[in-house]
Formats: sequence, structure tokens, C-alpha cells
Amino acid sequence: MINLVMQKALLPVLDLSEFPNTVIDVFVELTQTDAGTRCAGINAAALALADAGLAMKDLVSSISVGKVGDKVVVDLSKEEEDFEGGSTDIPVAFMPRTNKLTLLQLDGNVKKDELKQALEMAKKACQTIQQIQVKALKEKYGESK
Amino acid sequence: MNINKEYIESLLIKNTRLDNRKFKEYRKITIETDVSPKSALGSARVKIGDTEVIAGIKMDVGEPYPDTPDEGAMIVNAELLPLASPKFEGGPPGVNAIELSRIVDRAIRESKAIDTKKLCIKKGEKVWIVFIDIYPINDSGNLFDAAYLAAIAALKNTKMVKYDAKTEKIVYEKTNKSLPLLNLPIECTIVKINDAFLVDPNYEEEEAMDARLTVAVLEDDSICAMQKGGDQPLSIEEVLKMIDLAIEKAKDIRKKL
Repeated sequence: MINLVMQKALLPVLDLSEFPNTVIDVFVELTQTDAGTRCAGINAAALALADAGLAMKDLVSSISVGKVGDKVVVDLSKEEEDFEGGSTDIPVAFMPRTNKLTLLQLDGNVKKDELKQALEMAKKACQTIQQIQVKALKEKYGESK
Repeated sequence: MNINKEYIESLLIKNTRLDNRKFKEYRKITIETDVSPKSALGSARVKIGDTEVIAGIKMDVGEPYPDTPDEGAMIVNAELLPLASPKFEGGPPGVNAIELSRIVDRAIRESKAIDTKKLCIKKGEKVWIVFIDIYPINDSGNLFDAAYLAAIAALKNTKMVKYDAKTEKIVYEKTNKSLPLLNLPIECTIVKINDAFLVDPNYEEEEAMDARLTVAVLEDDSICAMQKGGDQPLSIEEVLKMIDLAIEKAKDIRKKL
């Protein structure tokens, strides 16, 4: 299941028509987990695809947002996910340039306006993540001028 | 390449669909319960148009999970029978079967629709485990909504059996006691094709869809589960539009239960 949603999250940025009869295998190893694992995995996989030199329309940046008690928050930890007063986990992934969602799941209980607020917060967080991803790529390949 | 996609898109521009439905119109939904009265504790057959799904409930006694020692458990299984669609193959459940069972599981679990505390027999030792088994008989599109409806109709139809603490065995005879159910959400799947949002996609529309969003809506319009599918992305505005549509349609479907 987690591999399916990660695949769907990454697929929209790739142009696979250039590689007929080819399979791109993406392996994600989780060495330590403390909630938000699929999001971290997607962030890493998007960078790895770029590092592999595949043509991409955009990066994919992912974060989990949600509600802990009655507070809407970004990047839930394991303790927050297991909060006894009720917790909602919404893993999302954005294509940061177009601000479109490629991953969206939800477990918990939210009202529509809370969800809207959470998605807006996720959009902002993913823009920050994208900057960090771009920085990492530039550090490896040097600033292109 | 999908030849149907172009034709479906040309129809959508004219505000119609392959089977002449409106964008917000479900096919005919029929719910029949107790379809397997002898072997299952609860069962239901749901048809949405030509899509047909059977769900059955069984119960067993087992050990609780260590983090919930006083709560019963629930296990959802879906098997995509090869007879139901040219796309389904025999063998162990593939990724699509797992997604179907997870989508049903998640809505029931996250809404806490089953009062699992009432399924505790002896804290830390013995609890009831509810098995929900889902078998699509025919996939003519929107298997998710049909499977979910079948699952909750079967849960509502379930009569519990007794556990004999002395002999430590289950007495396989249905009692009058129903399952302890609380607020059941309704699941609604919306697909996007170009700029159109459609409820209850048929087989061809599913093949042509850009994106899909399954939303589980509670009676107070709050959302307890959601899952995006399909190969294309969605904007926040599109997601909110799809949720509005799901909330609206969930009200209609709830009346049928």
C-alpha cells in the first residue's frame, strides 16, 4: 500500500514516454522511523530520481500535516500521532512549482475548514522542503550559471 | 492509448456521460442483506449499476493487540475474483486488492464505527475479532463505494455468536445481539476527467480518469478518511470541490441504509 501511494506521488513529475519498455525501480529504506515516514521517503526518492538524471517536470516535496487535539499542526511526531485526545494524520505531497497535490491521505476526523487550513500549511511547508531539496542538488552539482 | 478517453471527454464538454447520467448522479444502488444467512454472521450484496459486491462478516476470539488490551479488533480482506473483471488475476492479493481493503478498513477504523471496547471478553487475554470479507462479483466501475457499502450493510446485519468461557469455545449459534456500532461514515469516490468532477465512475470512466479521491464522510459532515488515486495531481481548490461533492452525495447514500 505504501509503495503504491509513493509511486503515485512521484509519477506525475516523470516523463516515462522517453523510456518505453523500461521500469524504473525506486528503493526506499527506512533506517529509523518516527512518523511521517512515507513523506520522508518521497522527499528522498524525488531527489534520487533527479540525481539519477531523469528528466523531471518538477520536484516532489512531501510533509504530513494534521490535527492534534484541536490544533492544526505541521509534521506530526509519533507522540502526536498517538495523542489520546484524538489525532488526524494527513500525509501530502506537492509539486512545488504548480502547487498541485500528488499524494493525499487522511486518517482521523477533521472539518472541511480545518482540512483547508492544514493543506495551506502543508503547501507552505513543502515550499520550504523544496528549497532544501534544491540546495542539496546544487551542493552536489555546483551552481549552474 | 485510450480511445474511450477522447470520446468520454467530448461527451463531458456537452455535459453528459457515456450512460447519459448527470455528473452528480449515481447509478441505481440496491442493498440486499442476509444473502448468506447460514455461513456468515452478517452479509450483504450491493449493486451500483452493474457493479456487484458481496461482503460477509465472521467473528473469532483471539488475543488483543498489546496497545489496546481491552478492545476487540477488525480485519478487512478483499479478494479480486478473476470472474469479476478481465483485469483481475488469481493468486495472492495484489496491490489493488490491498488498496480496496485498506480503503474500507480505514473509514470504519478511523470513525471508530465499531465500539471495540464492547468486544472485549477478558482484558488482555480474549477479545472478539471481526472479519470483514469482500468479494467483488462484477466490476463495472466504482468498486470502492460498492465494497464499502456492502461492508457496512453486512456489519449492520450481523448477529453475534456467544463465547463459552468454561469450555473456551465459541457457540456457533446466532444470538439476537447485534454488533456494537456507533457513527458509520459513508464513503464517496469522486473522479476528475479534464475539468469535470464525476461521482460513481463506470468502468470506462475509471480507465479514463486523471485523478480520484475517496472521502469518508460522517453524519456531521466531518471527514474521517481520505485517499487520492490516479496518475494526475490535484490542486487544493479541486480537492475542496471534490470534498463538497462527496459531502453532498454521502447524505443521499446514507438514506439508503
